[in-house]
Amino acid sequence: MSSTRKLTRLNPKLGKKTIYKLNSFPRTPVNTTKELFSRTELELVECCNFKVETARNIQKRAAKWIVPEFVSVLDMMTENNSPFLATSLKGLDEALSGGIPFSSITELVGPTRSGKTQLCLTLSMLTTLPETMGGLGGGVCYIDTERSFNADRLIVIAENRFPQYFGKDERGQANLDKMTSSIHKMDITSSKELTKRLDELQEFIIENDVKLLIVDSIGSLVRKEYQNPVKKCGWGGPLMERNDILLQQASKLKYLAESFRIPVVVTNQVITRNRSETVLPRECFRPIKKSREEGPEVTAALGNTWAHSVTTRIMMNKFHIRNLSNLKFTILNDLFPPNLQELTIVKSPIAANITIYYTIENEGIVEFVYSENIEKEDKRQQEEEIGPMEETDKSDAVPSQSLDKKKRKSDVAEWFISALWA
Amino acid sequence: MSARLVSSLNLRPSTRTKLQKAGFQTVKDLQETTPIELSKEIGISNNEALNILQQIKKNKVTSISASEALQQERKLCPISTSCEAMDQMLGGRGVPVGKITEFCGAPGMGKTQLGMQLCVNVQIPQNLSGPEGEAIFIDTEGSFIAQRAAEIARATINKLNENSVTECDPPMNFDIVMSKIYVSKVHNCDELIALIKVLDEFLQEHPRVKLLVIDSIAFHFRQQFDDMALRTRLLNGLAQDLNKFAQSYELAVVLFNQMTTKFIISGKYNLKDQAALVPALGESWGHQCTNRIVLYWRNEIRCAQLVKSPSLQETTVHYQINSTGVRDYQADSLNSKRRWEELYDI
Repeated sequence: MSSTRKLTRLNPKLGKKTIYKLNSFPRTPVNTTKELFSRTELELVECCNFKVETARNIQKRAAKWIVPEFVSVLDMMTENNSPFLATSLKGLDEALSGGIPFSSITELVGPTRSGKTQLCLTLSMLTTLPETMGGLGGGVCYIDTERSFNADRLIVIAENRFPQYFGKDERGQANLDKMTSSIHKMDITSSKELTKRLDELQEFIIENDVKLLIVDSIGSLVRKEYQNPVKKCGWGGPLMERNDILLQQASKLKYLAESFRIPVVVTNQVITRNRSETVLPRECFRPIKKSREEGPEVTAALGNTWAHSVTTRIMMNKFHIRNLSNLKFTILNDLFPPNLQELTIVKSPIAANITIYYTIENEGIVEFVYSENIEKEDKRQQEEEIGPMEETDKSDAVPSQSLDKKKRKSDVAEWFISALWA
Repeated sequence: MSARLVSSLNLRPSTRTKLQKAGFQTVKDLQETTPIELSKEIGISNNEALNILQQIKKNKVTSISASEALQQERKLCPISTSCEAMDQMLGGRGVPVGKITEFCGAPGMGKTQLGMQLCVNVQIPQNLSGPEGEAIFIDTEGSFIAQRAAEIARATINKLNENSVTECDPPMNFDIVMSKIYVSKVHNCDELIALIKVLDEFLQEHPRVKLLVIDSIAFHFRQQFDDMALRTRLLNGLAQDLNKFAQSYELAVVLFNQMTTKFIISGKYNLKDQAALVPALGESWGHQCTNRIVLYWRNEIRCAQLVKSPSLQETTVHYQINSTGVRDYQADSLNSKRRWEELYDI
């Protein structure tokens, strides 16, 4: 990585004698800055026969050479004007003050069919759009470990979302070509390969002007290779090895995100654990499913160590009003569409823990705004009702009554949502 | 070494002859003795002997009396966390200056935001009983987001300006506050060690720095270390340097640490293996910081528990994080939930 530099390159040059002495360090010769900083001053003095001042001086000079500079927050803010990638989900963008943050890792967690890959595809498509349309006008690097990338779906999303830009005419087809050719998919089949690929990715990112890096999913490979790490031998062994690999990958992803100022999106799977059987501590995170009764709960896979490495974590799953079996909300059930999903920001330095609702449509992921949908439906119903009623004389009274009823209905539902997530 | 003659010291003639009679020719000879030995050997009082030895010893052992220490500690202004309960827990007014304070917590507990809040609060001017300093934020995880820091700063400034309506010019200016938080992003542990090694120069250039935040100390030290003894050694060195900075530059050092899962393998007679969530980096690291606070969730409320402190009681307090930053926990949201539950007869 960046700070491992050969000491012979240090400017002004170290004396030949000094370098020889450093090389004579028993067993592990000190050639690079990395090796220099894993030795204490005392070790240098004792093993290389330096004076204390010389040892201190060498370390100081090397430190100055690799140390990152301090930047004031004011400068940071003026440097990049729009450090967010808009997700097109209005509620999410507002909460994250603009969208997926740049230079950090954002994780999407959810069970199968919760729309993780759909959101990734939507984001890829949005990234390729020109800046005038709210995109980033750059390429996308899509690392696919689950073989879930689907190019047909990508085109369907694009055509349905921007029917004018990606139209059937020549210009539309050209735009579509441009979009698909700037999304690069990589198939990876083992976690070692992923680590290696991440190391080599710098050139690829520069060459293809990549503005978004997606790993879908980070969890599948290590979970396959290190099955049930805890049960086999508890501490140490496979679990430590798995965590080490994950942390290395995280650190590489962070380095890429920061150096290129791009957002990195990774997806992760979920695990179900039985509360009564697990040996793991319960208080580390809040479960996705807010079940009140005892029973299995659903949380993100890969454990606590990995969870520290992501900056923003977003949980996605099915809207679970029916899951709350002890609630008597059968009336409310028909207020919501059956394919309603929810998305919660669980961890973010920017946003509060809010929840928004979405559905997966032809256009990709679409936010579900309660009042708008209800109003639409209301209007339709009103038209149906008003039609036959106009003939009778009671036309004034009845619509207002039904309006009242509907207003109450929507009020209850809105209140319900706000109360549930307060 | 210097071979200064005993005769050149600033002494009474009688003492000088006594010294010479006893065979002390040069200063070098005197260095081997202690005051008591000297006074016994040549028959002078303890004070006189001390006087002689002090003249030749350049660096005498320095110490300060407890009353001086008390004075100094009172002079140092702690940094408020903006959450009154947490300030109380930390000794009344916030994070202490001149000491290392460590916050440990699971992901999503608000560690980074707490760090940002402290970076803003350290700049509260003295006339509003703040420390009026600058802040360094060392970001190892890449989670410092300038926009969020700006949001917290704006909220804090607005709150302060509201309170001091009478003054004509506002006590804090947004641009100045933002320009006094210095952020450094480090990408691996070598860079972190290197940064700490050259930090004293930066601190000399910026004497008003009163807060050093490292978010988080654990991230780079938790990977690629096969040699655990090496890790412990490096961490100890780091902690020593930080302690030195904290004392000599009157800094508040705030470290954030991650949590890790520790398995307790059951013996023969126990029925079950157990696991606990403990701060990362191991036992020996736990000795390095003066105060340690663990952050965790309980019943959907954020809690902070003081687990290690030389002077304060172990307590647990509630706090919350909202759009304005770290704040005291208010029970409103819980009440509304209860109201709703009663209404629907759950």
